[in-house]
Amino acid sequence: MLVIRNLSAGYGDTQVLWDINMDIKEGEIVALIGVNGAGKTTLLKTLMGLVTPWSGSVTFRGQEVGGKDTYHMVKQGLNMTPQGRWLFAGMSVEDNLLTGAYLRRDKEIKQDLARIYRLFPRLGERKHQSAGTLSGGEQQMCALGRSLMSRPVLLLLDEMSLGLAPIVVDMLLDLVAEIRRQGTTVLLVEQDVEEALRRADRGYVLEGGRIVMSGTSSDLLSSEKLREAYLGL
Amino acid sequence: MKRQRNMFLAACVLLLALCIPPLTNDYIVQVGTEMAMYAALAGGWNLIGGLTGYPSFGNVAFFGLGAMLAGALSVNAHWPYWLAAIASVLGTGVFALLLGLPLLRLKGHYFSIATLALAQATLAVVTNTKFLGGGMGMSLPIVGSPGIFYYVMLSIAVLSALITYLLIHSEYGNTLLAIKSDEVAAQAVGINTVLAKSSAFALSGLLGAMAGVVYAIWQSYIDPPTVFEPSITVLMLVMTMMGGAGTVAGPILGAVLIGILTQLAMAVSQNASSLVLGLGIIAVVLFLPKGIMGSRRSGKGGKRRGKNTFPLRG
Repeated sequence: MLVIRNLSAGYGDTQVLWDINMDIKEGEIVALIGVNGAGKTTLLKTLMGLVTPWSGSVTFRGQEVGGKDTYHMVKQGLNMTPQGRWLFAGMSVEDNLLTGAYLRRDKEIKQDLARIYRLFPRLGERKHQSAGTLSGGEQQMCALGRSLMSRPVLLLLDEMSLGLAPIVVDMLLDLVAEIRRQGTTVLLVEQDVEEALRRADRGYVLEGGRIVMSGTSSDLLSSEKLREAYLGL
Repeated sequence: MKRQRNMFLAACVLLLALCIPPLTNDYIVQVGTEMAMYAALAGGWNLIGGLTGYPSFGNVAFFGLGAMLAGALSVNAHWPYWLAAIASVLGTGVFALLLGLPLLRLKGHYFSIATLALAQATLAVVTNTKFLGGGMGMSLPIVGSPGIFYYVMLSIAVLSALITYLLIHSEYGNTLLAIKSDEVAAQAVGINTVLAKSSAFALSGLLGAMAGVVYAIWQSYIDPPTVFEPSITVLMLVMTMMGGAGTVAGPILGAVLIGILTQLAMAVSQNASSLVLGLGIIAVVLFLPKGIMGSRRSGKGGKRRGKNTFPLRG
């Protein structure tokens, strides 16, 4: 579904991503792991067109999309739930969710909204409240709900766990399987290596802007090198 | 209920405004025309500065270009004024749209400074273009009566408020609000932010040009330094901020209040008017950071978050 070949990108004169190669197949949950500053968020932003690639190619569902505008990517079915949530603080929860369906013109938006409220009853209780007044966990739910409102084909989840209580993180990560069941492929970006790999089929390890390791989750979890570097075992 | 009350209030204000020429004297009508002009200009500024969150310091460029272009087309190209006016307004709109594309890539102070430069650059170009009247300025034929110009300016002010009202209650208005609240998030949900911002800037330019076109024929003499006077932009900004940025009534309220204040101060002394304006600005910033209408509004809207304005690093 998503094929990344020799992708390089950065900001200004600073190169952040070096020669990235990745493949994501339909229906997969793929984990992208790495420490702070490894380039995980930059990679996602490049895929979304928020950062312009320097070289290399990105093919999404058979179409070359590298360097296309963000709204074009969203139209193609790519969506990102950003780290730090980026909610529209001045708008109500419901309006935030509805902006997720911004490019949709079908009649099932109301239905999907009801689905989101079933998935996150807390959002339903607070739908008229300004999004800026939500707690961290609720904001993350709102951001995830907003992404789902676009009916993404491929969802990029950027560090949902950031600054959240473990119990909320667990609940959100458990939802990833549910999201896949509903037909969305997921690229899960996490710092919590074990939690991420336990829920993914495969994983890529990003270090210093390069992919240094990849494989199935079980392979990665049992890899000596990874256990040493990330799990401290 | 609240909507009906607001509509009723708007109708009352409009009725009152319509009664001014037959019931008062030329002086009041003259002041009223100016207030209506500023209400239209501030309303136009509000579209980009208030609704979209891009404080432009160069909106006078549209006012000035609108006035000079209409004047030139009518005096130098001998077009009938109505045709010159339409061409000038449309031309200025396109000018705003095209310049918006690069300018609106800048954010915050950078955008403000660039628009300030835009106004000065437009002034320089107009001053050095012979067809546009150059530094000499232009005399237009004297037509109409004070009452007519009052009603025309008032119509533009009403149009400006109407556009704002329709925008706020439309999906496009929500798009602009999304951009104001978090532009990267707006991009991430699929909004073509460049197009949305540029069209808001163009609408702002259209309204500015309309006021300029009428100003030119009303004053019957125009020259670049007058119609490109930077303080015109400052007034648009202050009026909108005082009345309430992002609201329908805010720019009108601000234009009327500043208009009255200026007249009162002028009655005391010519210099006092700048003093009053200055004190007014300080008072607004200190006591009514969201403006008069903005402070009344509660619930919807809420605080804009201060931190994390540049979430692009990561």
